[in-house]
Amino acid sequence: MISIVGCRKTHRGDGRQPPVPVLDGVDLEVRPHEFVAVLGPSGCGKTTLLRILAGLEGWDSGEVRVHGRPVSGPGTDRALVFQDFALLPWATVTDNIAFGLELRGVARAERTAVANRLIDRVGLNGFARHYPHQLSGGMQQRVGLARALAVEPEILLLDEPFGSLDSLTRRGLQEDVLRLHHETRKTVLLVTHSVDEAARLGDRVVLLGPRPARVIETIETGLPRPRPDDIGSDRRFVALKEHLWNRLKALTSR
Amino acid sequence: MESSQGADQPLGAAAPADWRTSLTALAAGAVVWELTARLSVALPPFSVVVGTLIELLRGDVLLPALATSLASLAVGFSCAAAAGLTLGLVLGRSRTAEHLSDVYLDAVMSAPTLIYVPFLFALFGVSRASQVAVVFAYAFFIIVTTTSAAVKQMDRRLIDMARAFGATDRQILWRVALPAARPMVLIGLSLGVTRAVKGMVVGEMVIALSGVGALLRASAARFDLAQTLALLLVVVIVSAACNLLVGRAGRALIDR
Repeated sequence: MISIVGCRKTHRGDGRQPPVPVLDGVDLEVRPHEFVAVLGPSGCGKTTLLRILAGLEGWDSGEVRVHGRPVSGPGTDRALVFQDFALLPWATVTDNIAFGLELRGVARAERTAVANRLIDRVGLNGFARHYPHQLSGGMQQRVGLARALAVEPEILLLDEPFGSLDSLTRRGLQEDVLRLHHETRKTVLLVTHSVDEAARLGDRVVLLGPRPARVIETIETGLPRPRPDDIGSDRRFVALKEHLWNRLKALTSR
Repeated sequence: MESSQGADQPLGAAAPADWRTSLTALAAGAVVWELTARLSVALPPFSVVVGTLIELLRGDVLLPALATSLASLAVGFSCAAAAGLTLGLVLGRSRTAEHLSDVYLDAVMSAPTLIYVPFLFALFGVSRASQVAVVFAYAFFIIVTTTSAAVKQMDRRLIDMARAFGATDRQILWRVALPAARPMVLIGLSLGVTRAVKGMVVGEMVIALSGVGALLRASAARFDLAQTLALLLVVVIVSAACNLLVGRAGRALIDR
């Protein structure tokens, strides 16, 4: 589904700043319907990796393929959920969710129907005509999630989507994402700096080292799907988190 | 639960209560004016000015002059808005274009616009074109700078978002860039039209060919303060009306 081989990237400086190497030969394979969590310390380049996959940025060398074809720009098979939500402040919840469809020229009635279904699905009933500033952070990200689902992508790219939310809201949304993944069987690539989030959501956790990023370790979590509510007390889950913590600590203290 | 939208009016939509407040302020101003004028000799009282204004409206001088002035204003401001918005968009999007023009825009903006009037006069002669050019000169630059600032300070993340969802350059311009820039562009147009009215009067006063400005100059020269103030009232009303009109038109134009 997604295949990245030896991907390297250096952010060119703008004259005043020196060039910064961000990705140092990243290898990553994601199978269809798989939920992969890319875990790495802040600023390690994991967002850059996701932006490359989304077609928003290029890379210097190596291969980045989706469905076997090199990524050459944004595509209808991928949809991105943004860390800072990136909602249009002047558009209602409905119009925000339908934005991707609007760009594709889908008729108003049809995109409103799609938006309404998704509003129901992400639990935003009654907020169809609200504006983003009238919603809490968690609700805004639900809109972001619905907007990504509206274009019916095969691959969901989540860029630290819950990083700016409080822990309670975060847990609620994580459960929503787990449920959506279970129902839709979409391929999901999640980028996060939270050990708990990576272990809780991923089928596989890919650990990246500090910038310039390389894959340090890939771990099959082996945790059951659907995840039980008491996964937090599962021995394997606790042990996985412990292991990831220790690796991360060792990586960042150097 | 569907909330009522009343408490969350989008920016720029004046609630009815605001109008009542404004009218109260205007009435209070009229009373203060009237009282001050009755106590001193220099200022004609409000009632006298209004009387003069009514007389002027009944006469056959003001309305033709006003029509002439408004025609120059309409043509001059429309050109300034079209050219200003276009150039502003270009400058806002291109760093090179911005750096090339920065110095010149600053220089032009820092000089009093009145200085350019003789040049325009020399260029276009005693004609309607000079009047239009003066209106243009007054309104153009503020529209350019506000529009380019509006585009520059735009949230890049929204553009990234749109691109990720497959937006073309054209769609980004119309669906993201312009709506995002809209509040500030409307402010620019509003400042622009106010300045255009100023330009209209100044142009006519300096060139003294026709229009409300020529009447103003004549009455000021005669020390006819009541008529001067009455004409000033006309200018203020024209300016307020234009502001209202431009706001409406601007909102309709940049569809969201």
